[in-house]
Amino acid sequence: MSVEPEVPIVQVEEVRENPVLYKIISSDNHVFTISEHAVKLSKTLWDLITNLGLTAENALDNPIPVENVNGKNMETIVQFCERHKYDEEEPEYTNYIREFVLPEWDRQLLSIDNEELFQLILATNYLDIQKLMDYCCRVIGDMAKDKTPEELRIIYGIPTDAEDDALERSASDSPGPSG
Amino acid sequence: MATTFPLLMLPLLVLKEIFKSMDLWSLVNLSVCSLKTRHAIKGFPTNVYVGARPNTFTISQNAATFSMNIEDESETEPSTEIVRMNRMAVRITRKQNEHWIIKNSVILDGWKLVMDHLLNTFQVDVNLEIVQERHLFEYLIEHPTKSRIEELNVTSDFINDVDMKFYLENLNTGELCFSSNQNKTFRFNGQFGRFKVFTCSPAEWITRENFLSLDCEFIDLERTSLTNEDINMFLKKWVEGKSPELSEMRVEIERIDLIKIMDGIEILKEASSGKENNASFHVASELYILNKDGLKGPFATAANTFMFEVSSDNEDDN
Repeated sequence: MSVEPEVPIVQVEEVRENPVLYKIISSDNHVFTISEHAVKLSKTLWDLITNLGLTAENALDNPIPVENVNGKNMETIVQFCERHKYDEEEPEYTNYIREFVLPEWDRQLLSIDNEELFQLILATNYLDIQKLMDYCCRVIGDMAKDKTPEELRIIYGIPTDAEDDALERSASDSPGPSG
Repeated sequence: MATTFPLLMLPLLVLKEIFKSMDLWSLVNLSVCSLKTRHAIKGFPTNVYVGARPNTFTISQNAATFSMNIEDESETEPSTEIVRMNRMAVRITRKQNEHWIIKNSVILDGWKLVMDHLLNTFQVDVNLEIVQERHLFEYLIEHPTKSRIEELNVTSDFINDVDMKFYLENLNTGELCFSSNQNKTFRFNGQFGRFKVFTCSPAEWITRENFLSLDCEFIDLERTSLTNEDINMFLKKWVEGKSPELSEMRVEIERIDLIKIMDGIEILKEASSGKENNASFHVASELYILNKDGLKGPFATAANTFMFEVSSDNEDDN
């Protein structure tokens, strides 16, 4: 596994208390260091680490390439995981997802452009980070609060039935691969 | 201008998580944006409870409530916006975010349009409260979504015999509640639907045969023409293990005679004592009967009502 030498290593947070660190390479070749406790929040990454047999001794010599996530999103994700690595498990009650209060630090972290938020939630889904998924969903769900259907159509880019019909017609009219 | 968030382009599992995080009002608003948003919400069943009356809907989920009234569009207050239900443009007047007035030239059409939208958007438990609008009940039981009717409440000064028979035979879930006067000559010779709870007042029309054929969890009959002997037969049936669903029964008859009610049934008595703050105290003894499966059936009377409750503690536990 080779890393482009000119790419800087991004130290998101210095981790003193946990000696086990891993390296992750984003799709645009940025390298991130992440602690063991933090990386465990990502089911995908932790499964990968376990399957690759990475240990405290060889972890830093074997960076993990993540081709579906760019550096910008990876930076946010690493910051999030480091911040929440020692959190207790969330209570499992039915309405938790509707009722929890998004902490101010996380609200700031997720105050990003809609396009970036869209890419971030896709990355979060790919890396299977439940807590960040809950937080992103809360931010996206909150966009709908106290909005009229017409406002929702704009916020979420929802086409009208007529526009959907027109799209479907044009898709079915367009020639297929053989046509 | 801020960019849009392309909600419908998200993977389905992510979309599901977002819907789970939305409150009821947001989901209702989103459902009337387009057929596609309605389908998307329907794809991840969200349970809501709908209280439906002939021109009102109360939609609730946990502590949130959303209400819709159907009004003739000729009413003076103009509509404020248009929403989409089943591809149709529906004019509404928004009172608050959680209260809409739906305008329609025909109230019944408006009712069906809203009910159809709700049934096609959410996982709905319906409490239908009607006076004489049997067609609303028929609409619900024939709706292709086969949503659960949690409760059918018929409150009317008078129900005609045909409608009465129809309700008794065709409600197959939840609770059937009649609080209305029926024709004094009404008799039911059909087969009861599979409703779990049956409350009826007045219940003069119920014959011994009707009473013995009821197979519900909860039965509450007021002002019946039943007799002590009828209750005795019902209890003997329970003792033989033939009313396995029963958990509670209250029957009001003209005059209670416990000797006749318990004729041929062994009555057991449980005298118990309790302890509180290190002081023993005596608790009134409890009379009960047992069925062949070991279930206990404590009973009591109050005025002209016989009360019977099946206890989950069987004798072995005592």
